[in-house]
Order: sequence, then C-alpha cells, then structure tokens
Amino acid sequence: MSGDWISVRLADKRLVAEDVAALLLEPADGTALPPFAAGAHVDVELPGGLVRQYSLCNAPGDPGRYELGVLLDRQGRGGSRAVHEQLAVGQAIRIGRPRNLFPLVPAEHSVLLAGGIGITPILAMAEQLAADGAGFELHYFVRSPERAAFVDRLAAPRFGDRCRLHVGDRIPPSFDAPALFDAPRAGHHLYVCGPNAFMDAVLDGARAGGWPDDRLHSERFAAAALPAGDDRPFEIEVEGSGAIVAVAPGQSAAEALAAAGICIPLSCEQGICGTCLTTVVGGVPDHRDSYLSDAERAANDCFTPCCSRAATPRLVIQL
Amino acid sequence: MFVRNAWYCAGWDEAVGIGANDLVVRQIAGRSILLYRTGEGRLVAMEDRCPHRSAPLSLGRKEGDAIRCMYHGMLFGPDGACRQVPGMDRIPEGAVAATLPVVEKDNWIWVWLGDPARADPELICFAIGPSDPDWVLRTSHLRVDTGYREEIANLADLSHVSWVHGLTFAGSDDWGYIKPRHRLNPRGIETRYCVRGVPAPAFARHLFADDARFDINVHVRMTVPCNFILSFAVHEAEAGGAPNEPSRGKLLLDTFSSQAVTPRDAGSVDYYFSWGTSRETNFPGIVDLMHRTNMDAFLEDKRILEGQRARLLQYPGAPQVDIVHDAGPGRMLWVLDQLLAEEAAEAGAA
Repeated sequence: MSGDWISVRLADKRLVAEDVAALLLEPADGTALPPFAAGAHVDVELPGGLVRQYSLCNAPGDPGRYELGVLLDRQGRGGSRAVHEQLAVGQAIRIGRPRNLFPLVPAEHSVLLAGGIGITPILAMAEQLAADGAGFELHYFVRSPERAAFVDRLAAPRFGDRCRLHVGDRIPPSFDAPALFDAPRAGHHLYVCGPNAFMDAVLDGARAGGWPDDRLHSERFAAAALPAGDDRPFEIEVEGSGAIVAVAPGQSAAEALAAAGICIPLSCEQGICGTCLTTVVGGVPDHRDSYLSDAERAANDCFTPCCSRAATPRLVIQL
Repeated sequence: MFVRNAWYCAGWDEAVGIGANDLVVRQIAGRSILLYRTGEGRLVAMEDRCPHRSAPLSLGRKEGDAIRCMYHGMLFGPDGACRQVPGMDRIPEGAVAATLPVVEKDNWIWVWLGDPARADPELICFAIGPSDPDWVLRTSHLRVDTGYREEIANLADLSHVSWVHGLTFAGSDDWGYIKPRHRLNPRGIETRYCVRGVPAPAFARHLFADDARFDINVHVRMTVPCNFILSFAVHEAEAGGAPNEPSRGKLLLDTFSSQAVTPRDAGSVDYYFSWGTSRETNFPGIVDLMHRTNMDAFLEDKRILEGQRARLLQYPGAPQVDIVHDAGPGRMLWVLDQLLAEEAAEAGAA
C-alpha cells in the first residue's frame, strides 16, 4: 500500500438499500483522519487478507470519519462478501490513506451521473458542490427502487431539487438524455461512475452529442475489483525500439503504451482472456490477471498489460 | 463489417470450367461475384449485375471471351466494357460491368474486393494446393450459416476440438487444456504448439494399440478475412517435452490442411478446405479416411456454430464471459478490427 496503514474502528454498519451496506469508519486512537477530496477512495483491509478499494461518500468537510457504501456482489471475488458477512460494528480494521483518481475540477456547472453503487463518489461530489454553492445536478440510476441507496441524504434540503432518481434498466426514459448530451454548454463538466455498461452508454451518448473528452470524467469501479496492489508508477521499455513509456498510477500499461502509439491487442481488458499477453525480457511483473497459471507467472517471461503492473521500476517488453 | 482490401477465396479452381454453362456465382462479403473462364481458360471475376437494369449476368450466355446479358442482350467483354447494345449504335457511357482482380493460386480462386491498384498477389495467404506433387490432398466445400467472426473464433481456438470433435479429431480432452501463445502478424496470427502424449484420434483409434501415445506438432497460420492454414504432424510420443516445444519423436504422419472461410454475408460463410498427408508418410486408404472424417468434423462445427448463431440472434447484445481460451480469437479479431478501422478512417478522410 502507498503510505502507511491507518487503524480505524467500524463505528456503524447498516443496510441502506438492497445489498448495499453503509460503513462508518472512525479513527481507532482518537487522532484525526486525513482530509480527503470528493471522488477519493481508500484501500480497506478485509478479513482473509483481501484488500479492496471503496469510494468515500460522506461530505469531504465532515471531520473525523469516513463513510463507505459497499454493494454485495455474490459472484465477486469475495471482498464485498467479507464486508457484508464478516465485518462487525466495533471491529478494528486498517485502511490506506485516501487517494483520488476522480477529482472534481472547477466548473460553472457539474453534471453528476451515478449508476448503482457508483453513487458513492458522486454523493461526496454533490456534498462538496452544495457546500461550495456551485451549480450542479445529480442523476442516480437504479434498476429498482429497493436498490437506491442514500435516498434520505439525496432528499436533504441542502440539495434542493438537484438530485433525480431514475428507475429502470440502463438509461430509462425519465432521463432526458438528448437535453443533456446533445448540447454541451461551455463550462459544463460531466462525471460518471457505475457499472461498465452504464458508463459506456453515458460516455458514448455524451461523445456522440459533442462533449469533448476533457470535460468527461469517469471512474470505473470494476478495476477496483482486481487484486489490490501498490499502484505505483513504473516504466516500460520496448526492447530494440529505444521507446520508454511511463505508466502512471491509475493508468494501465496497455493504455500508456497506446498513448505512446504502441498498440497491444486487447479484448476483455480484465486479465482473463490473454489476448494482450506480452513477452517480458527484463524486470518483474506484478501479475493481476487470472489468465496465467502460477507456473507461468514464475517463469517471469510474460504479463498481461491490460491490468498487470510492475514490481520493479522498469519492465522490458518484446513486441 | 468486411475488410475490402483483402483477397477472398472464391472456391476451388475446378469449380469453374470452360463449358457453355459454367457461369459460377459466389456471394462474397455481401456482393454477388460472377466467375467464368474465357476460351483460353483465363478467369474473369465480374460483379453479377448488368449495369443496365441489374439483371444477373450469371443468367446470361457465354460468347467467346464475352458474356451476354440475357435480359436485353447487352454484351460485355472480360474487362467489363460493353461491346454491343442490340438496337443501339452507340455504347452509352457507364455501360461497364465492374470487374475484380482475380488470381488462381494453390488451386484456389482469389478475388480482391478493394482498390484494384492495391491488389498485391503477395497478400494471398500461403497454402498447399491439391496439385502440389509432394502432398496427397483431398478437397471439399461446405456452407455454414454463421458470421465469419464466429468462424474466426472457432478456428483461432482449437480447445474446442476436445468438446466438439470428440467423435472425430479428438482422442482425449487434452486439446481443452492447451494454452498456446499466438504471434501477431500484420494480417493475422501464427501459433505453434505440441499436444503431447495423446491417444489416437477417435477416427483412427482402431488402427493402433490402445496404449499407443502420440505427440502432435501444430502450426497454424491465420490471415484475414478467415484463412486457416494448418500443419498437423503426428509423431511418436517422446518422454518429457514442453507444450511450446515441437516434439522430436519419430514422424509418423505429416498432414496439412488449407482452409479458407469466405463470408457470404453477415450470417453465412462458404468454407473451402483440404486435408491430406505428405507423399512420404502417405499409405493406402489414409487420405480417404481423413477426407471423410474432415467433412464429419466440419459438420460437427456447423452444428454448434449454427446453434450459436440462433442464440446470438435470439439474445442480441447479451453479455458474454471471457475465458482463458479467448486469446487466439481475441488477437485474430483485433487484427481484423485494426484493418477495418484503417479502412473506415480512409473512407472518412476521402
């Protein structure tokens, strides 16, 4: 983990919607928790040694505590099940320092779109924007009313009528997509978080309507379901070409290579299919895929750049 | 949906003769292509559509090296230019049937759908044809009602051999556990591996002792749109040996299969294939048995691919899960998609 672990106590845990648990974390030793900005997440160490990332959803100005929302994924890799089934109020757990890959930028007006559990960072953003008196609107998409979490907070007077709930599959008709997507106004920024299919629908719609990429902000929480590790920056050297590509935290090796004009074949982008498998001739990969067997990992001669990183400052690859 | 600048296989050369009625129409990537031979045996590939009122030229009549549309009698030369409009002295402008570059190689007919200036015969996939003196090969043809992307995914991942071809090609479920590395080429992928220590395949089980074990050296070259060139060499099983190293056991049967899958349209393909042995390792009866088995096996593929197509149409856009065997399909489809994107960008810039 980057930085030190912080010891916290689970002060409260309750279901706030079908399969959604809200966790309230307070410092174990009475010292203040580090401040955070809207959109930030923390690593949470769970029973069984799992580490998962969850967004902070309370108001960033809220002193001394962190609030998380965790959706139970019965088909998942066990992190959310550990939260729902094993964590008990009063229990001591460890978390990482807040990190933010999904920050708000100053804007005349912010459009916040949340799908399902993607509401968590979006809610913190709404709190921040409301506290700042900034212009915004929030649209929250859920498959059924029972799955809408934090509805009491969204109905609070401080938000006025700026939060709208949309119930249905993907993007239901109650949401006026053309009005929002088809005429991007100068100074407007759009933020989206949710399941991949939802985010793709939103981002495709917005791009088709003319939204420039630099005013579209998104965070995919599917990536957070990958085995956690230290998202340190590293370098990739392409053997024989002299190219050295920097991979930033939060950026995949394949994305960094593509940005440098080196296209690797991609398909699932989750470390399952092996389409992107790339030969490694130097350095040690930090494997985060489920494609390679333990023996193949031990051979240290390839990695999946769609999701895997480096345990050494530099990887040398062969194309 | 289809790469334009590519050679598409239009079948075996023997399918297009020089007889009066040898007017062969192929559906290729959404187009109807007429194939015929001139008196000298030279192949002509022409859009099967009269430029007058779109009647199929394949319903026409061969006259020397030309073809006459049997709707209003217009006569077109092998270059597509109209030579005669009965009842009219001057040939109207635009009275030209579109022709396509066509090449015969390895007993296959190849047509180029894109810009004729870029029709480089070097881009035709490597193959071994049935007239090659070093090989004993038999050929066949099958239509499958599936998309060619599904065919690509079928051929780029031979783990399905264990499950689809349990009564023909497979002798065990070992194919389902191989995890090959696929090398990327500008127009396809190349894959080599060895399936080790396997019993004889179902179709040849009776020819060997029950405990006989074999190593199979596999070398696959795939190119766009969906050509699959396979060297499949059966060796005596050697002790040890890694799956990514070729077997050095004694070579028993050296086999080769050239397969070209041509999309007819979005939902069907024409599959032209051969299989057989090297002259050196051939023995009486084996190629006949392989030939029959090959058709049986491809009917097994047809059954699963057509079932899959029915479900894909029934559940459009339903999510699909990836597994470890999708690397080959992922790479081959990626190559295809890169070429499609390049052509889309060119079309957009033009």
